[in-house]
Amino acid sequence: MGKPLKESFSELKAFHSLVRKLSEIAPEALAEKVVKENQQGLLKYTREPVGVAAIFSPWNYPVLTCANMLITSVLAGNSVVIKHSPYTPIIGKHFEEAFKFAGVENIVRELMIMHTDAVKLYQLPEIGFVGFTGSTEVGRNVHDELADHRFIDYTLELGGNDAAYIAEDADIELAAKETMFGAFYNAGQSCNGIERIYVHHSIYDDFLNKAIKYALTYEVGDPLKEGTTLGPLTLPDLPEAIKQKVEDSAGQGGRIIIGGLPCTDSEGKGRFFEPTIIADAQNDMSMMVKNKFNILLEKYRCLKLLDQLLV
Amino acid sequence: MNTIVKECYESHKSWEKVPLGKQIFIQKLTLKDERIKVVKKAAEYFLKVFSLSYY
Repeated sequence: MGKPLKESFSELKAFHSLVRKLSEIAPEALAEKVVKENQQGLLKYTREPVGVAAIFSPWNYPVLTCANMLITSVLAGNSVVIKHSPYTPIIGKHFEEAFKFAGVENIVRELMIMHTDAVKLYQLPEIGFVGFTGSTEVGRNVHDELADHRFIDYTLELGGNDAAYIAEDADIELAAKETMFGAFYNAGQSCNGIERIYVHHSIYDDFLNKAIKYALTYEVGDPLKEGTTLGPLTLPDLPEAIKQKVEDSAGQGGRIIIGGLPCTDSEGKGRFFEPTIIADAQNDMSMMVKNKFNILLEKYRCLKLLDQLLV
Repeated sequence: MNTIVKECYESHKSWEKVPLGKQIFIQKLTLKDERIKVVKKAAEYFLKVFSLSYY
């Protein structure tokens, strides 16, 4: 999906840590817990598998987001069907093969179905859990569709519009460096990426200058090259959609400090978007609030806003 | 879709009886009989494809 190599390996390392940690805590987490035992009886908690877990995984962190629910479900004694994003379908197949290699058949299976068939999947009596990672809008649909048909457990890991606040006494250099990292990691295509930054007025200009310095260090290019730190946008229509949002912001009083346009790599290839900072944003600007009519921008826009918080 | 889900459900019925690990289930087990061991082995294979080692 275009993630730079360094970030891809970071995701795999995180997957490794996840498996180790979950394996470590599983015996205690899944053990029976006796709450009360006396002559009248025994009260205890037991953790029992629910059958087949249906996991819907997105493309932005194709390994980690899938593994979060996959590993926990399997350790708990469930089998799993994975409906992975059509942009990263090979990951589901790869997990299936990994478990087959480990000696178990039909414990993890990839499922290639259309989104529209998901409702039929929920209705199968063998499905005892649904795990969905993706946009808030689709998550709401999953919630409604499940409630319409069955009462089974589900977990929704949805997109956000995350903000950071830089306080008056912050280490400005460090704050600028880390917030730019949080904003531009995975080209901003992260559900927990920083999308808005509120800065105390006394350090606003200083922070802005340092943020510009760090934003300009990002190297746009081929994600398979070692030096690339900002990869392409995964979905084809994102560059133009983001450009439109930037123009809207400018029309509403935002100041485009750097970037603001789709771009290519040095060889004229790929669909990228320049690292972009818009200053003097206001809370009522369309870019600052969730846009219910464009789920792509809500979750995956790569430009970040700076706002002056008067306190 | 229905067939795959049914196959998974059938497998789950035997999988849930596989002990999680030796830590809490005191009985004679082979390593591959433990759920934790299977998960680690699957992760090992998964990472190996990317030239990374689990251990």
